[in-house]
Amino acid sequence: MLVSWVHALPSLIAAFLASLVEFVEALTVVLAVGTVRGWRPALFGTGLALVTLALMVLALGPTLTRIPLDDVQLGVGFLLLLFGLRWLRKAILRAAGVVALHDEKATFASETSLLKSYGRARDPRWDAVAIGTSFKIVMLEGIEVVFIVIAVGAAGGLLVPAAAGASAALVVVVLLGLALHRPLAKVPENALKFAVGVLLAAFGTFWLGEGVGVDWPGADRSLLGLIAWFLLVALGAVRLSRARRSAALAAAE
Amino acid sequence: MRALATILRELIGLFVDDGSLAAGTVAWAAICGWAVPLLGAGPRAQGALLVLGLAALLLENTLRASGRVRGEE
Repeated sequence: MLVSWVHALPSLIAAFLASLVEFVEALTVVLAVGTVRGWRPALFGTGLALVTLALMVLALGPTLTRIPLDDVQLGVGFLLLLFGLRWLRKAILRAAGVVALHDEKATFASETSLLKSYGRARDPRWDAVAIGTSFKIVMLEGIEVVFIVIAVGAAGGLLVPAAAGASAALVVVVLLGLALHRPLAKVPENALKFAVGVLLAAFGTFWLGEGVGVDWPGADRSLLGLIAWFLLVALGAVRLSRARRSAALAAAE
Repeated sequence: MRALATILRELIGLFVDDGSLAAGTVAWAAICGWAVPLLGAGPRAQGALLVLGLAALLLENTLRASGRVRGEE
């Protein structure tokens, strides 16, 4: 039971946090579309994207179960590692002040002015700009969520906790969006991305290792050790990067 | 068509942001997966090398990016 919780909880948390970040980003654009171009086409585009994503999952899910588990672990672990290290790298650079922090208010403002610059639709109910914009953002962020759920869930047979985590994130963001009707600018996005990067890098390393025959000490429990290791490395990288950045700027003056 | 191209570009962008980190990860995974066992290292040593190498890659990459005065987007 302990092993299954050790295994399932990181999957659930990783899927929840990663999906939360993606849904917050999608909500910002959908809110901009709804505010400027009307709610009906904004929600239609969103619904269309959600149906497309559901069809993708239904098509890909059964295919994935036919692939031998070792191959799934190797492939998913490798992609998850690339994905996780990419998130972690960016979160480290943002925390160190090398890259600007993501600003939902600024995104909302730029999307709003872009959407206003397009002409009015002949029939506002079928506004192609609104439908296309909300469809695209929900598809883009949704594909990331689908990948994360499959990646953190499929290799360990934990699709249910991973999907539950993503669903919980969707419910949280939709409820907050309905209640606030404005971008969720106070969500500590970089801290979330930092945590997700650590979790996904650890998962990716674990599954890639399993796929190439690594004998992890403590089996599944070593996942917790990998999470602690990547957290330590990432925090160290933030300190070192901050110092390096200051030195580079001082030398350039 | 443009939307499809955007989706494809974003899909690749999911995994590759900085080319050198992605290339280093691919190379190190291949070394630890196939070359290290050929050299006679055990499965535990293989895991330790994988973990240490990935941390070194991440540290080197972030430090290199931090040293650039112009930073990045």
